[in-house]
Amino acid sequence: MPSFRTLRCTLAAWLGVAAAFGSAAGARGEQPLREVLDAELKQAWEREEVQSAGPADDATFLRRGYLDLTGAVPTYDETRAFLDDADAQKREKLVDRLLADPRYARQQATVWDLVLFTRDPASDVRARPGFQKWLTAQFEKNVPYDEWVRAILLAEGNSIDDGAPTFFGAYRNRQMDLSESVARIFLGQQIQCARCHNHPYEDVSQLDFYGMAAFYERLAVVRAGKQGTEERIFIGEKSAGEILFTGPAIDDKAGQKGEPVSPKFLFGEELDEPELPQNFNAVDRFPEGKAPPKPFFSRKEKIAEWVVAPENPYFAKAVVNRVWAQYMGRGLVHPVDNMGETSLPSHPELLEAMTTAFVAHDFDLKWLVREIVNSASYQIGSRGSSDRAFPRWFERARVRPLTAEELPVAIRTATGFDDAARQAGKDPAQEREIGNLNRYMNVYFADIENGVGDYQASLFEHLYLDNSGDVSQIINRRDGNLLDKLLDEAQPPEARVNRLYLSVLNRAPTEVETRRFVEYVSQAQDAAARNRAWHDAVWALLNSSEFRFNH
Amino acid sequence: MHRLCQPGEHFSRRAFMKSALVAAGGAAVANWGGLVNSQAVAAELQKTGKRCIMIWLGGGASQIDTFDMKVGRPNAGPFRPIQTNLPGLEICEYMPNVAQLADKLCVIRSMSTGDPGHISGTHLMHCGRRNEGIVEYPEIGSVVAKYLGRPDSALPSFIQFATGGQSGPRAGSGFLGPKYQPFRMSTDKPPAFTTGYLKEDEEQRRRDLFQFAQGEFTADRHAESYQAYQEAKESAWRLMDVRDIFSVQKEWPKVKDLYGDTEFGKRCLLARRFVEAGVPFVEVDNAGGGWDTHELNFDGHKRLIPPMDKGWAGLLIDLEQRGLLDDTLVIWQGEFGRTPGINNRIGRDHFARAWTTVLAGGGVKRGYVHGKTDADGRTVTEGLVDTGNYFATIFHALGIDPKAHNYIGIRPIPVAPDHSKVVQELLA
Amino acid sequence: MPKLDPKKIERAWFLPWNAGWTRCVTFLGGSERLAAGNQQGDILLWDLPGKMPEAAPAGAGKAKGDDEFSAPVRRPLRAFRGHTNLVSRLGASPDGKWLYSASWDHTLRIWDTQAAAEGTAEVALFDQSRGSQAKKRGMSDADVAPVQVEVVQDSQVLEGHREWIRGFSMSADGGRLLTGDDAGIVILWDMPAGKELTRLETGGGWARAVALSHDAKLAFVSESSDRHAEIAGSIKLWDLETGKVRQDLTDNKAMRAQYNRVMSFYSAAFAPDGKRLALGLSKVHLFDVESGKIVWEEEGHKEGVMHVAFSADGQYLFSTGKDTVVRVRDAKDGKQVAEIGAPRGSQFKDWLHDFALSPDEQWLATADMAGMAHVWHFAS
Repeated sequence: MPSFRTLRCTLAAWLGVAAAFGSAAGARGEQPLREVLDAELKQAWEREEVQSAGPADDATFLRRGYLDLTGAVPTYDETRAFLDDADAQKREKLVDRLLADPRYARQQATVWDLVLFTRDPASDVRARPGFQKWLTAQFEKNVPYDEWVRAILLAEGNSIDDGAPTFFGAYRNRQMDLSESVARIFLGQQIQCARCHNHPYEDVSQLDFYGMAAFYERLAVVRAGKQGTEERIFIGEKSAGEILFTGPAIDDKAGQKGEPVSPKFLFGEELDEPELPQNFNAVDRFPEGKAPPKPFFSRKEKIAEWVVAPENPYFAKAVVNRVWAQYMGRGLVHPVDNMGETSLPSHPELLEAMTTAFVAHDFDLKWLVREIVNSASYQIGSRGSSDRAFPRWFERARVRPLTAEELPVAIRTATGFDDAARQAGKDPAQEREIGNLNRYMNVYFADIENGVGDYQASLFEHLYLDNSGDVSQIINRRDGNLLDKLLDEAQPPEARVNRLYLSVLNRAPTEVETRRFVEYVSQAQDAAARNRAWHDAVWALLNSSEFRFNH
Repeated sequence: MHRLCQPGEHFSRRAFMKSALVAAGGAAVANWGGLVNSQAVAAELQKTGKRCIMIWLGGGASQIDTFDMKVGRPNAGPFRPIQTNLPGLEICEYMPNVAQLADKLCVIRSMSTGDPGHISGTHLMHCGRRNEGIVEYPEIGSVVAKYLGRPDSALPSFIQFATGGQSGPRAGSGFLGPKYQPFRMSTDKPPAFTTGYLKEDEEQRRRDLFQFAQGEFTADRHAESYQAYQEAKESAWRLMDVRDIFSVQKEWPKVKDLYGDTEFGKRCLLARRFVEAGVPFVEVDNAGGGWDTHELNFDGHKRLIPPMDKGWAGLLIDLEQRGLLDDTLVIWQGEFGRTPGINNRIGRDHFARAWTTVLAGGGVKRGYVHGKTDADGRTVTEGLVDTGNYFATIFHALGIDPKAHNYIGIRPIPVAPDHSKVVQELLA
Repeated sequence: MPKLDPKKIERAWFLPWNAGWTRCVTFLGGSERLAAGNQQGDILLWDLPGKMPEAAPAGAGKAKGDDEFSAPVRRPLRAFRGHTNLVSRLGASPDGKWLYSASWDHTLRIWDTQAAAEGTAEVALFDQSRGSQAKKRGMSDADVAPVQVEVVQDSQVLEGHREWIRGFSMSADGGRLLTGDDAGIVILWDMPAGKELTRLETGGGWARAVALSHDAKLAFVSESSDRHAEIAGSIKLWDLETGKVRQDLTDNKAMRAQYNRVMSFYSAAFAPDGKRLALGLSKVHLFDVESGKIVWEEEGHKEGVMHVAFSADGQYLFSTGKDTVVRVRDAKDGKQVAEIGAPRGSQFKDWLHDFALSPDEQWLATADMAGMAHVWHFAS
């Protein structure tokens, strides 16, 4: 096991500072992490003289928790049940229930699948049900984070049956890109600039890059047929072959030969590896269609162990920061995949305390999520004067748009579309209306942020929502759906407006809102106009920022 | 101590893979709407009718293979010069159409901007300066939209063809806020879903109800995402009233020989239609990063130059014939030029120390070549124009005072970078 | 004639030339004279002993592996001067008297290789960095000094083209030459007379890769398209007797899937029997001419196959490109049987643009854009 004693001095110094301050974190010992979070944020508010928004009301918490933990909004019945519940422990109980919900695992797998693969339409592994199934199972079983990441980095077995090799499969013939992604995703380190040039003040960085890339230089994707649209691949590792380095790209000259570079752990030591025996017959190509043999010595195993080691100063910190950002909006280091020396955390002690506790809890992601969402910090209100989507000091809830996956599900839930379809004995997912919605949401709502999480407003989003008619088709009256219930003349309009708000926005309307909506629907003179009016009422709420965003 | 470059250099792959409208980055609290110091000044500016079209050469076009040829030098490459209609000016043989319009051009051979990264260079050549601290600067289109846009216009004040590619994502309106965000188009086709399904009065009633619901929610919630979302919705409504402008089918047969029957040609035509309709700033992306010819520079430029030459020349001729060129500044630039040296992939790399941009029309000198580079084009030897002075000159030519202030809180921010000066020689 | 065995390859000579990129090579007549052209428009002529060097050069042993310094240096004798832009391809009459060159200056030129010299010129063989490398490897100052060569002028300039000439292919008897330029002009010439015989009416795209069947009856022309230039690309077979398209292969599904509309091939060659056609772009593709189907396709040149050629018996297909390696494949199934040279191993490699087999197929020369040519020998 390589050590980490060659940490850069700045990092070591920084850790020292954190340790000195944050002996608090150590002394806190058994203090629940959620309390540490709350105390740390509070301390920062006081220091920065920031006004906090105060706690969120039940309705706000309910919708936020559902979206963050399951990717769905609550139904009308679920909303009623929670809001009417007088139990003082109901929030914690809801969190437990949602963490045990099968949708939790699917939602986390969706989030991580996008972290690992992005929406790249040109990806070699665009179709990856095997991987997605495998990743969902990791969350279902709550497999410790270091274990499933190790599996991804070992890439054993094949992509369809074992899932994990798919990640490397996305980097066929792009080993340098792979090493960049491993460093960025799992260690929060951006090393790609060192591919072509050193930083002016550091002359070691290009070798850092090539040293990391050397671990992956010998990997090859071995294809073994298809199952549906998904390709079965194995990851082979050759026993020989070195990455060649010729210095800065800008100085590349014709006829230059590269020098082989030995594997070197990021900002650490060179790998100690045995000589390949003289008579060893090292294959340089794996035949397609079958599992490749093991190499004489596996560099891939060494780097996998190094990456996920509890002593690795980057690994646990990177994931803790990423999970924090997933629930809290911005990372303590922001953006989350750029945790280099120059990106200082907003709350260094908090990051340290969370990292330490996470390692002590054996990389238990569900535990970490439970602590975060049960904290007062997560359950903060969404009102306030700050203009920022992700307030720097977490003094107000973050505002993030629903994703292209979440939005169609939310529209279906809010309008009672799925319930009505099931009631009619149909599979909602197979309905024509859903196909259109999913397809266009993927076109117009998939890239709604700029890569660091900032929402990008788009005219096209509105042209689609306003004019396509696709959303209107979902709202249309069917037996048992929301519009059907809203058109129930037996109920007074006030009660129906109440149902409308609870269904779409998961909260009761204010008096002003009730008055305005009742007035709106009361102007209708005939059945067709009433249908139109109530339809518009649903549409108006579905289009509001309150529905569009998770807040 | 930096080990690696700053994140902006290599960041946000997704953002430039597929571009959508970029929201204000959330870096600074800006007082949207109240930014024009004097409403009277703004009204005056809006009356001048100045317009701007930027032809964006995403990826960076090679100056040595276009406007600053180094005949006979080892790094000259295989392109040969031709004489233009401006005595003494020779340009690349693959630009015969623009060569006949050289007497309308203001060629700046002495650009020295210093940033050879795609993302940071694209930002720099749109914003005129780097972001610093909490200030996120707006790109030039947003600034022009603010000063020259008409508040009552149904069309967006800033239309941008941005097809992504290697060129970096655009900065958007920065601290100027969502109101001045670019309206993005990625092809020459009319935007999808611009035909509604409600009657006019029904549509209006529904919009009012939406505004009410939105207003109730945002009354005590101010996240800029909500504001950006609502502004976009309102822009979508306004756009519906003027959507015919996007359909070029009727006009195209009459002008396709002028603009060249290419996608870029159609975009140039759309740009003319937009400025004619009063849109103050249009950015036309040429080839979406295709100019980034690290490999096979000459094959790449030989493919890219002819349609660019035709479309650009067609645009200038059309603007001139319609009497629009005097009020429309046409900018031709990318994020940087390309290295004088030819690398071992027969490519040229990024080069921001001595490169060329071209201005034409409203407010700038015609038939003028500014600045010089050395024999091999490695340094500027005469008339150096840096980024700040370049932008100050463009703003001035458009009738916008480069020293006019916008405010972030109480901090005044001039339109062009501090200490920048208008390059008088470039002005008409 | 001993049978070609591409597996038994050895490095024979090193032909350094410090003047831009060496782009093209050809043997003249036999295996004892070689010409190469570069991007500045210059052409040099070397003589070769026609047998392997007696001894390895002094520095050969100091190499970690095989490289250009493992072979002795040959110095050029003559320079052919006249082109004013890159020399893209070379060919020669079977007797070696006439050298044909194609250039980006829009001309073809015919050179009398035996003509009297019209002067001399100095040619640098080494730049500073390779020169000091050479000295480290045992060469003297004199070895790396520039040399004097005789200068020869062209004897005929063929001006039928309007753009860069890149397509270039000769018939088996050397009597016909097919050339294509970037304006889409494709011309069949009678050589060495230099008389234009046929001109094909193409669509105006870049005719970058052309191939002439060995009997000169059939021509292949790849016209490049480009999404910016908006010219539809095509790959077509032309009957040279009628000057008409015989077969349009453009809509080949497999090719469409790979290249869409950008059929911008770098290289093409007919097999001796005319039944197979090799094409190079991202991969090497082998076409069956009759059915228009792809027989096999192989990767291996870093997505840039700059030149392809069959052995005289059609058994082997040679190819080279962006990976600085010549690959020899069994033409039947595409299986690689030999790899000549080694990848140079920089992040961005130099390319080989061209290679030439000597008429007796015992020698192979490669044009290396790092400023040199290499000569290899197939041991029998």
